[in-house]
Amino acid sequence: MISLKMLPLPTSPSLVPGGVQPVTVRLQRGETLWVTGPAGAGKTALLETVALRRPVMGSSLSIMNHEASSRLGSEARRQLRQRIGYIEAAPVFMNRLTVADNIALPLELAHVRQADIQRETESIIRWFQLEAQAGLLPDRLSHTMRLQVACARALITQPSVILVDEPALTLCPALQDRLLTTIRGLTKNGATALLATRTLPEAPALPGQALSLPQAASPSSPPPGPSQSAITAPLFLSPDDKGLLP
Amino acid sequence: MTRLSRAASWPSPWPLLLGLCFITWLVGLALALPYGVDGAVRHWEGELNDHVMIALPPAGNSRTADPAGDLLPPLRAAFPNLQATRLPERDVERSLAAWSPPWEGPLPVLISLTHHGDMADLTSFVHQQAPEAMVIPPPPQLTKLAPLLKSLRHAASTASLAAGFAAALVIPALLHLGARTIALANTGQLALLPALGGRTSSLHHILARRMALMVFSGSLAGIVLLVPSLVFITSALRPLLRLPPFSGIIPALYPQSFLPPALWGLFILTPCLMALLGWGMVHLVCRRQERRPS
Repeated sequence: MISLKMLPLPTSPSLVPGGVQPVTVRLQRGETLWVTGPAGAGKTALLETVALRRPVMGSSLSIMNHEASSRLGSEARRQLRQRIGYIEAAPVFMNRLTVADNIALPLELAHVRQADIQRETESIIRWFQLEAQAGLLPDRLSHTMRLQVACARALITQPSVILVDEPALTLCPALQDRLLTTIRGLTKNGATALLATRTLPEAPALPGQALSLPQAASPSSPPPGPSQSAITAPLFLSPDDKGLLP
Repeated sequence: MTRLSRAASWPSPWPLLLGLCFITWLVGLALALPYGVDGAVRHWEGELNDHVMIALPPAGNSRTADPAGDLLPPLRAAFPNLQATRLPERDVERSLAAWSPPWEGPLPVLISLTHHGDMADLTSFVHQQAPEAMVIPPPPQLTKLAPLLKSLRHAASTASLAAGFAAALVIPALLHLGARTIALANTGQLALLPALGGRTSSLHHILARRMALMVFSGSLAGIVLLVPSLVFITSALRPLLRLPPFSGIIPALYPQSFLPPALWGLFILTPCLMALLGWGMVHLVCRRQERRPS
């Protein structure tokens, strides 16, 4: 599903000398990976790379059996992005569209029938309890509400890869529960999730593997402590998941 | 209307609309000016008296029995474009009566001809054929008017060229400014669209279509203003050209305005051409912005 090899991840120089750490990750469909680490550890950079929003330089990234290098065609890149749901720390919206239209937009871009768009949008708005805000413009929402809208927008397409940055997981417990429940349902259906937080929740609603950042400068060097050995070890999983390809 | 269409921001259209309306009107006038001046000058020249008269002694006083009959064939042979007619005696009598008190004696033979060439050539040829002939040139209106008409034509061409040059600079600049404003107003949308798995070209098409519609409207308004302007100018010139006043609107526009049909066709096509330019400009600017984000 996701194979990332020796990605030079930008990190705060106070955490890693030189400001770059190589990261290797391999995830299969249905897997969940908790990415933990302090601020500046490279969590968001990792998510953005997997979301194809950062160029992959000096490493290899394969998503859904597509090599996401600079040679990846724009059409293939667009199709991959349609299957990735990314909940950013500070989500951006189409400011002239209402909350409901913003949530429905990814389905419209994927050329889904209007009746289906209507049904799916109403369903996910009810699930995230956004009925009262559906007709509002995003500018008029609080940050927590914007995160809720971003969750609904990212998950409405039932993406194959779900990427969640920290605020959506920590800002509001109710949102966190609803979001993790949704993601758990999607991972059971074969989606892969990468969730970034500073610390791993004690009893996460969504169990999964863990990756602690920053990693050691050399991929061959051992992890810093016994408690992190399971976290820092790359997840070697079979990438034979061609069934998920469009 | 799709959600993407509704998502597109649109800056105030009035500056572009008014600018294009004015520039189309100006370009129309600039294009019409040389044609109009040329047509008016031709008409003016056509109205001038260019008749040359050749007076020959009466048949009894001449060396030959039929002086006109002897002169006309070689004259027509030497000047093929010449239109020469021997005036009947009744007309001769009337002409002479208009010149002076009642003519006494036999009537001279008068040949009326239109000649646009050199008068000296004609006079010397006539005198070679009939030494006693008297060549009466037309009043020297054209000679006096020629410098004026030449200056008029030159001024019209210069003004047209200057306006055309200005338009060639201003129109692309105006369209580029409009397209750039639109692209900047939609920077956020254009940046977000790929992240959601959308094609930026979809938004480009929407913006380009709207721009084309706006440019078309502005340009059409310019043409709508241009037509009455041309009618007004031509109406003002008609007394000078000794033409009757306009009758009706449609005949006033086309046959009596001195403009060729091709120019009227160009006027009709101008809004479409401008819309095409605007459409292309939005695509160009959006693509450039995509490659080099500001």
